Amino acid sequence: MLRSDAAPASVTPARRRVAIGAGAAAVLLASLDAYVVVTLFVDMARDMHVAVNRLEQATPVVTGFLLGYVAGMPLLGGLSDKMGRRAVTQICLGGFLVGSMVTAASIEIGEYLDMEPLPVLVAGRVIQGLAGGALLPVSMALVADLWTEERRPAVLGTVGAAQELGSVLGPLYGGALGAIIGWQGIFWINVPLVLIAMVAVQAALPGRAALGLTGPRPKVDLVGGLLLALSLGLLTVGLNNQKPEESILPPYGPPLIIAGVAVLVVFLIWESIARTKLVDLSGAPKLPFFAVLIASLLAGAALLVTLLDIVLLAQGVLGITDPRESAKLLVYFLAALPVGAVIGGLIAGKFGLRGVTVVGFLISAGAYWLVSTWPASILTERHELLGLSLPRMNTDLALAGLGLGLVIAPLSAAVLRIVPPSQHGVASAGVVVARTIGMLVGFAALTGWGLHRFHTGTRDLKFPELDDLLNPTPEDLAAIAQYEAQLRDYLMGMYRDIFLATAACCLVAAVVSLAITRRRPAPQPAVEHTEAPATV
Amino acid sequence: MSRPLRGHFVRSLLPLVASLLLVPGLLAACTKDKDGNEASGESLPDGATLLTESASAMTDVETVHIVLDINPAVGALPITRAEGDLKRGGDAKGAIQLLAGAQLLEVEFVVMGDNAWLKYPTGGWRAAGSITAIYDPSAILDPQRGVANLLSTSSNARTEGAEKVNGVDAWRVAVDIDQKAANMLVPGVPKGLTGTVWIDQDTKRMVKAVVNSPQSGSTPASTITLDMTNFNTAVDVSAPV
Repeated sequence: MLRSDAAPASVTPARRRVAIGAGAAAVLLASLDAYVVVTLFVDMARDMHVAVNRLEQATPVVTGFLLGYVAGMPLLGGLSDKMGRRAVTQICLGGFLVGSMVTAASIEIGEYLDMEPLPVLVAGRVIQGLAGGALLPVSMALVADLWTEERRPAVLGTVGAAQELGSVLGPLYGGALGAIIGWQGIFWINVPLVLIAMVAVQAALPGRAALGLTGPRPKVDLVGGLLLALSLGLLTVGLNNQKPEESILPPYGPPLIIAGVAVLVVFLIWESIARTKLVDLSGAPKLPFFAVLIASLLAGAALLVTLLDIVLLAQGVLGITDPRESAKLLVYFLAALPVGAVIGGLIAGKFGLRGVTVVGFLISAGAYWLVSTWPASILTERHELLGLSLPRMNTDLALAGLGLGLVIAPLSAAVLRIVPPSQHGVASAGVVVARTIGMLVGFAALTGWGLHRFHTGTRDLKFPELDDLLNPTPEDLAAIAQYEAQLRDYLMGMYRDIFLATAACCLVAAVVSLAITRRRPAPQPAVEHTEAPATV
Repeated sequence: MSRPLRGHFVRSLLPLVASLLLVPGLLAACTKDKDGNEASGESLPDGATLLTESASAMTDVETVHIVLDINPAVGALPITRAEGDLKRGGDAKGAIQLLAGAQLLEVEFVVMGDNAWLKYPTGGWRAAGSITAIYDPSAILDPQRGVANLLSTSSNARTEGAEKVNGVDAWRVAVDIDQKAANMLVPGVPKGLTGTVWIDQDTKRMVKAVVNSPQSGSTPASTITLDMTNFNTAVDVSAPV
């Protein structure tokens, strides 16, 4: 999809930097909105008429965006090779604008259309995701247009960092601002932001002609992109159980999941025989590449499960409903992510990509194991360690964030090491696709499983009589307090299970990461000089 | 883009312009005046006659699906929504949403004759003496207590126009609503209720009602919306345990 020829001389270095700045800003804007719902989830669910005991109904608010994001990346991303980066960036920003407005106005639109607001909101989120997802590969392709091969990895890193920054800032931005202007306000704010971005992109990005991209246009693997999107759609719907009290999977789940896996197999077969592929791996070692993708996928699952389940745990077990307070609980985890990423980038040269990745996943696995032993009184618990007294919740979450942060830079760097330079942009996007798929499928699967465990466990936990709740006598109050304590314990048990599974994911990721090659096999002479002496 | 355009600049602006054009279009679509398809020139049917016809048509309804939204809750019970399938005799199944503090709780219900079952957030289904302590869904189709009564006791009816709601062509009728009749459907509503009902032009059934409940004492001003669909489609209500 990307061309590997040298950067065009007609674009000045200053203009290049402005262009990629505008592209990265657009990527950040979209990435923010993937994570902004984390701290707003409970408020949004309530306004969508979704009760706290039926939160599974609101999960498409999260999964809809991610599904759109994964589908948009290969489909719309490839379009930019045909139509030009600027045109597609503008179309994506326009789509993102429309999606944001549909999301913000979902209640009013629902009223106008005589329908429930939730499907409107989900539609808005899918549109946002589709458009937002495409911005990343387009910006990465732009890097390939504007920079020569040796400079590309660093600039790709900038675009990737903008994407990562969204995961760190999104939940905080949603929590802090959402408490003041409401969740609708968060999406309305996108309107001026997107319009500013559109003007900046129009001014900064070179058109097709300026880049000299007038030769034969590269082909896009539309079939591959559609197959991947279809497979994920089937898996997501199949895993989204609306009745978790009855079974782990919905009744229509198994056939949809089987169909999803079948389509995935067709996708893999297609990728091995098609002439135009999503990622052209010819000449690249397959095993390390897939190891990077699977490790990214598992990291994505751990990331989203942490973000959402900590917020839900805070609400259900700790009684924290203010989005600002939920955001505060995530601060240590989120702040540790970039710290880990910077450290990972710095030490990868000394200890090797594989070593840092494995260690990072092991740290996370340990941290999630600690989380899986939390009692319901976690807010006041402390670690007494070597004479230090540390708040247990913040410490464990910071450790988990640090470990996940450590693997970000090595995984991004490893993929560039593995694939030929002409595929750098696509492969970088592939890492993000894999991580987003992990978020999507991991979150859907673990949530369904956790909720089922919760409902099975509380089958005999008698809810207080409504009459007693509304007109309580002192004995009723004591009984209600006892019920609430028991409920908190069951909820805590559910989250403990979910985090234990997350720890297992990280452990598997650590093992898979062992397959990331330490040395680049058969270096291509043309790019030998781009290699950092990272191997020891 | 097959037609040659003048210069690259114009061409490069196209996507920008296209996406900007979408914005006012979408906004216009969202704020479009609902009176757009007013029956112009023709005289509208008399409001009071429509109410009488509708009250009589509602007595023939055997089953219906309802969504009752109370925003915000009024009266002693913090109910914000009741949704379900009702049978004329009082059998019903569905769910009620209650606001407990800042949290919305859903309680499922099944009513069969004199038996009722409730499913709270935990503990599965269990027999409840009666559901009427929370909400009595059998009131809605009852000729003496329900929608038919609400329509026949409403006054000052003015037909305002024709529009499509809940999938049918309906007359929109503004009315003053009797507090006693409304209280049987939503306990706790104060005096001074105004509202709008939508009456199916063919069947004369009421398909939707919006009641504006004014602020009164500690009761906040509230908007109560009742949507009725799936008239006389088979409803299967069976004991959950």
